[in-house]
Amino acid sequence: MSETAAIELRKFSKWYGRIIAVNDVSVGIDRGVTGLLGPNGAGKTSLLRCMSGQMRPSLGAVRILGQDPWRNPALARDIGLCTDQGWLMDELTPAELIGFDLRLRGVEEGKTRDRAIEALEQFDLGHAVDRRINTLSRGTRQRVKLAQAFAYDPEVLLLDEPLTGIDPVARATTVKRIKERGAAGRCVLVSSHVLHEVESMTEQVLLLHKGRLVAHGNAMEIRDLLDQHPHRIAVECDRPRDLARAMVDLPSVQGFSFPSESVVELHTKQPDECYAAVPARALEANIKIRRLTSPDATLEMLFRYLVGEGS
Amino acid sequence: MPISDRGYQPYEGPRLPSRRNNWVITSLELRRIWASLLVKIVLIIAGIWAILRVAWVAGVGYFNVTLTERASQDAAAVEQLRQRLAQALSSDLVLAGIDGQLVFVILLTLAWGSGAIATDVRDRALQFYFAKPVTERTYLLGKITPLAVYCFFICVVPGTLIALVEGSLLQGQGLAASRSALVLPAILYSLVLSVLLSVGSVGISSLSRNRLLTLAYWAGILFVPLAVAGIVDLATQGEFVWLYLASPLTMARLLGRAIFRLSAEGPLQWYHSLLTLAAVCGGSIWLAWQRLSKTEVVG
Amino acid sequence: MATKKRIALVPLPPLAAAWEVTRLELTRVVRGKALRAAVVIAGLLVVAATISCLAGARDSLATFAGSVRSLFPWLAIALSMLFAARVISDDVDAGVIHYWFMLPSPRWAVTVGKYLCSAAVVTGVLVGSTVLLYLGTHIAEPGLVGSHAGDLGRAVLAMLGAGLSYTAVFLFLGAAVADLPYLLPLIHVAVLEVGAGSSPVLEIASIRHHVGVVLGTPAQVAADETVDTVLETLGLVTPEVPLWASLLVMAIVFASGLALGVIVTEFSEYRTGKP
Repeated sequence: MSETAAIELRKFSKWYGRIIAVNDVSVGIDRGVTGLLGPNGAGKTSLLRCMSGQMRPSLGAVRILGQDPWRNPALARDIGLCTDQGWLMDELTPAELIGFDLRLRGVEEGKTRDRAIEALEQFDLGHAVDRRINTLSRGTRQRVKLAQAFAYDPEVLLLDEPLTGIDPVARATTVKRIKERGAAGRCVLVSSHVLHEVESMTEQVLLLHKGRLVAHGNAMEIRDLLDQHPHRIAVECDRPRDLARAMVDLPSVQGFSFPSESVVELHTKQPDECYAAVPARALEANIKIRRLTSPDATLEMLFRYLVGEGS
Repeated sequence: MPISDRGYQPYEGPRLPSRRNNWVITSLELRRIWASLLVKIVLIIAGIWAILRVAWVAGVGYFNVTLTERASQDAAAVEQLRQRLAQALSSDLVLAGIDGQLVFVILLTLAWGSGAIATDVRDRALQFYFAKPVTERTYLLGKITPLAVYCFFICVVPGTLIALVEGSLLQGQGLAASRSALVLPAILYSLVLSVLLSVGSVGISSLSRNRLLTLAYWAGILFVPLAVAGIVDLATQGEFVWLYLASPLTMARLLGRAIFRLSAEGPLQWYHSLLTLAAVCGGSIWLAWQRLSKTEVVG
Repeated sequence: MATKKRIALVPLPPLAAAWEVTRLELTRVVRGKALRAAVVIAGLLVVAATISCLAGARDSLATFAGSVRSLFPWLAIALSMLFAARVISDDVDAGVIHYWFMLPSPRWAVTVGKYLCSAAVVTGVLVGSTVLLYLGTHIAEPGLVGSHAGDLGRAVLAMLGAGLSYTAVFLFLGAAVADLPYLLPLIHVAVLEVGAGSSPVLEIASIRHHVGVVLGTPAQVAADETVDTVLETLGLVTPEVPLWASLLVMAIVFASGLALGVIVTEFSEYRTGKP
């Protein structure tokens, strides 16, 4: 565990009666963007709620910037939270809600509205500044929550399913803002099911399954450690079987499969050696390669392998 | 690649007669009402209160009967005691026993009835119900009947028990039959109260998806006219009582007095109450029917 | 990793934060429908009394005192149920509670702020209605407005006490069981205000009795004949409570209700209800 970790969990467990939501997790999360992944019921929301001080751990400890977040209002100024459900007051406008928040955090009364509008415009919400929250669509409400969490530039941002209900254009803006905060040295923890978008934000992941920490670190490094699941390299070419014949004597190749007439998939535990050998062998055999991809180089495959569904 | 619609597929199996649906919806609602913690607590407290009241009547009545039997020296004194006892153990006490349960019936309708349809609207359950062979009539009956059953039992149990206790205590005076016969008015009055309050609360609950709002509407209908009429009554020192016509609770109690053949306590008579009670019941059902008929079912 | 320097902000002190919470909550209440309904209902009562007095009521003071004594404690209970009992549970249902507890202010400041808003609304409606009722009932005898001012003063004091104490108690009871915010308040009303409040001697446990003492004319308890007989035999009669004692009782109820409400919210973990 890094000594400078912004978020630390030490033998952290959380249960509700007889249901164990999170089971003995110890991890340090550094600054930058980290993806928190896991299937439904893995314990992600419970983890985020304890990190934000909404709940106490049943066992173990949570530390945010070295402090316990439970009943610690002084720490709340350094934590931004965006939940997946609720949170907004229907009777208010986004400007009023964020303005109130900023006022409590010490921004001068006369400047709160301007800062609130600035925060909303970061998420392309200039049109919704003075509209009542109960008149906004689900996606717009989600962006208001994000704007509220980002408005006072906290050190630690905890985002629970931040992209829920947001349209593709707004998603791109949101991802950009998240990456900006990560690059500026903030600790951003993003919980999401939209794996390809977490991929676009970061390579650092934390994978939970049934309350346990299954993997933590760089997604590709984790992938390399999965010996029981060889890498797959898909080559689309004019003569896939001839290419397979040309590659069969390579020690790093463990097997082949032919998902279609024009594609051969190489199974290997040494992908780097294979990537280097494929063009050379294709050239020797006069085979035209149209495309070279790795179906495995996705978070989705990593997710499947680690939670046991396999390919 | 062919496009295949894997959405809604119509039910092709046998369809049972709609009579059975009444029982299905009613039994579901009976279980749902019982599953509510607040309802259980109201029922338990109502039961305890009813037992205490009946025990009180039985205890005090028995005490007085014993006194009467012991005062055997003076025949006039004995006769006086007997008459006082017969006066005390009368239909007034049975009526008071049922009226004493009114607060629990009102609580039950506020806790459950006033949100019965609102909750289904909020949870989009109406689309679930009406995508099945369930008619508006079946749905409404299924909502009203279980609530009326619970309200009826809250009222009828103490009323009937008090009537039977009176009959047993006055056996020596040959009044057992007349007192025991009070069971019938007790049942009828309990029926009136339970139907009025359950129909009214369920009908009002169709006005909005916001449960708090429908609860406020129902509480308003029950208490605001009563409060306003009370203030006017107070101000005019009983000279102007006609505003009580707008109060369903007062009108129900007026009808109750008539059912027990007790004279009315003012210028308002039992037939004045019929219009109010009909308006509450009829109006509630009409409101609910309008709402349910307009429900769009996504097929 | 280069860390971009943040602009340091100093959060408001807790009491100032509580005041800001009160302001925000008042905005929410004013924009909601509940306040309008409460004002309409209170207004109806005032209008009814005014019309009756205009039409020839016998005694304006008796009408005023009788209305306040018999109806306004129940109005205080209803308003407290509406504006205090659900204050925490509504926010739990809507997920807003997580927003409140993420603010850089202690939880007690949020709870106190919410209480101040509820108390302001409840006492505002009660006191406003009392004053309007007084003016309405004296509409036919304007010369007596000044001479009965003392009764108005006591009535306003009684409504202040009722509003503050009922709001505090119901806020605590509603927060204690956030899933069923009306459960404990209803039990309180049934047992203490209706049950004990209608019984000689036991009525001292009800806030309504003390409201009556402050008003100057505690309600006559209409007991059963059978109950009367027993109590006469046992010599049980409700002792007379001095004004200062009733005010003290209401102050204690208010303080303990608020303190318990703060304690409950301080240590509770809330899980959001519906999606």
